[in-house]
Amino acid sequence: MSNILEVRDLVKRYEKDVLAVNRISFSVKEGEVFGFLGPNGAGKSTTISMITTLLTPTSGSVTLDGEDVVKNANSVRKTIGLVPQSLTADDELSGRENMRLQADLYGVPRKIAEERINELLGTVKLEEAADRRVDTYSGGMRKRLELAEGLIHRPKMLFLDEPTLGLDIQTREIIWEYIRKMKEESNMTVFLTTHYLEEADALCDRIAIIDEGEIKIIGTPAELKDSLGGDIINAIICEDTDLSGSILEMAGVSSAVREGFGYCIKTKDGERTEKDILAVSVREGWKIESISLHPPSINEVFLKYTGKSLRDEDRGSNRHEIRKQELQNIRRRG
Amino acid sequence: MREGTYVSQTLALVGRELKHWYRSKIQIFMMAAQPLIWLGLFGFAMDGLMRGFDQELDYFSFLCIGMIVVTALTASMTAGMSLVWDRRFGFLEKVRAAPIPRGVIPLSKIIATTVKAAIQSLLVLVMALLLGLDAGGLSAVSLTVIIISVVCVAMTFSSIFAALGLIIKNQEALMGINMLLNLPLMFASGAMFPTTALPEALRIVANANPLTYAADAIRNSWGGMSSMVSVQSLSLVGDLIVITAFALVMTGASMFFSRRTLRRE
Repeated sequence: MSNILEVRDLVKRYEKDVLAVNRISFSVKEGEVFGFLGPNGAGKSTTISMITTLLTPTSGSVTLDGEDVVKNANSVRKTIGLVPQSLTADDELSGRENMRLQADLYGVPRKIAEERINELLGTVKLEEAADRRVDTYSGGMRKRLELAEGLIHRPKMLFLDEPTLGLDIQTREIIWEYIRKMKEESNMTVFLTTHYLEEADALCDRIAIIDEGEIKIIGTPAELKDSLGGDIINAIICEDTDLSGSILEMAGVSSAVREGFGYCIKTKDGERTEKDILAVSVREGWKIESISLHPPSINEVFLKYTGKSLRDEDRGSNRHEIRKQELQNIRRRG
Repeated sequence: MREGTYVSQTLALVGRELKHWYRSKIQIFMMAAQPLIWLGLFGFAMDGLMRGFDQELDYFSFLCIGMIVVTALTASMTAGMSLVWDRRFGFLEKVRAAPIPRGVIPLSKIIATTVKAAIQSLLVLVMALLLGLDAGGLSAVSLTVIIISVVCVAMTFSSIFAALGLIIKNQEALMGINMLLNLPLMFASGAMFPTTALPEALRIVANANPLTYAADAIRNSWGGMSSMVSVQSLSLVGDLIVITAFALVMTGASMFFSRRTLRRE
């Protein structure tokens, strides 16, 4: 597979000394679903804005489908579809009118456009609301409309900036389903930024974790998990003596931490260590209350490379939603 | 991209603006109410006052013509505000992400604003006739001149305000600038008063103001009013050349400037 996107030494420096993106390089293969994962302010949106021609890089180069995004911006814009983080539909027009406007802006001939509009509105389950003004839509409906708009010109590469942020389950399902369908049926490349780890894990062929403007690690979800160095075993053993020393002696175990009767064990090969513990417990007569094996999740990968927990993130996203709501209220009043 | 797409892109954006406009009942009401108040209150009150200086001057008729061009100016100011709103609500980002030449963004605002301004100004003409403007001056020529003048005024000023709307991203600040510019543009011109009545310094400003020439063009074409024009040295054709030049230069400058500004973001 050839690369559809090549990013080389990309830098974005805002006024003074704010370095939003610090010399990042990566490439995306044609047809893959590529995830950009990182906490708020990591540089995800800045990067996506530079790739999608909305922001001029300070230095470095971005080539999309063979075209330079700065020199041949309009060719790049035709190749890509963008579903931005903010809601950009015109809320004084109906959903269908927004779709028609988008089709005109992307030069889709009227006849073809009408067919596609009906098809896409069906895909995102907005047929019934299609002729209603967008300001009567819920947040989820608006996001689905954004997705449909981003696909009107059949882009080669689709950019989804936080596609499921703060959305209801139905909308999230529709978007996930659509991305999976795309992966199976077409050769469209999908680039998505998210801070929902399960989302990245479930959908992406490859993931890059970005923090403080730098890419910390890049690879398939399996590779990222392997990079943690193994599995985690949680066990509750009702013995008064500290058994962590004995566990640590077992093959592959890199750490064993005791807290009361609970043990948290990190090991290269979880299944083997689990068997070892059970074997020793039979021999030594340990009373095992419970034992469970946890393969590493993207969650732990994220924590390791960014040192940040995701709870902070959700607070950030709420703030964004509230701001949007405020603006809408102001507009209605004005 | 297929031929003629730039035209359909521009028209799509113009269509969007016009849909907003005719669907907004309050805007339509305001559009009719404001000039009515000007003509009804200011026009009749000042008419008596002005006759104290000059028995011959039909100030009401003079002001009616002035209001037609001033309405075009006021309508043009919305070009900037609507760009600020587009930015705030993310719509500008959508347009910037689309494969359209950057100049289409201000151009579609300028065209839409000009269409709105022309309709508003013609409405003022109708109201003026109803309130007592002498219909004797109305002819195919004067009607054509009114449309050309109003279109040129709207193109000139919506170009300026569209460019301002791109630099000044804050709506309060832009509203302040609108108010600050509105009065001097209106009064330092031949629209509201004959410039011969203005002090020397203001007259110089008025002579550089396209509103003066737009009002003059209409008065030159309106039977019985040509003695009231501000710039006596220019004929109707001269006035039209001046305002057309203003309109084309400002539209070009606005598109050039906006292209640079939008690219640098």
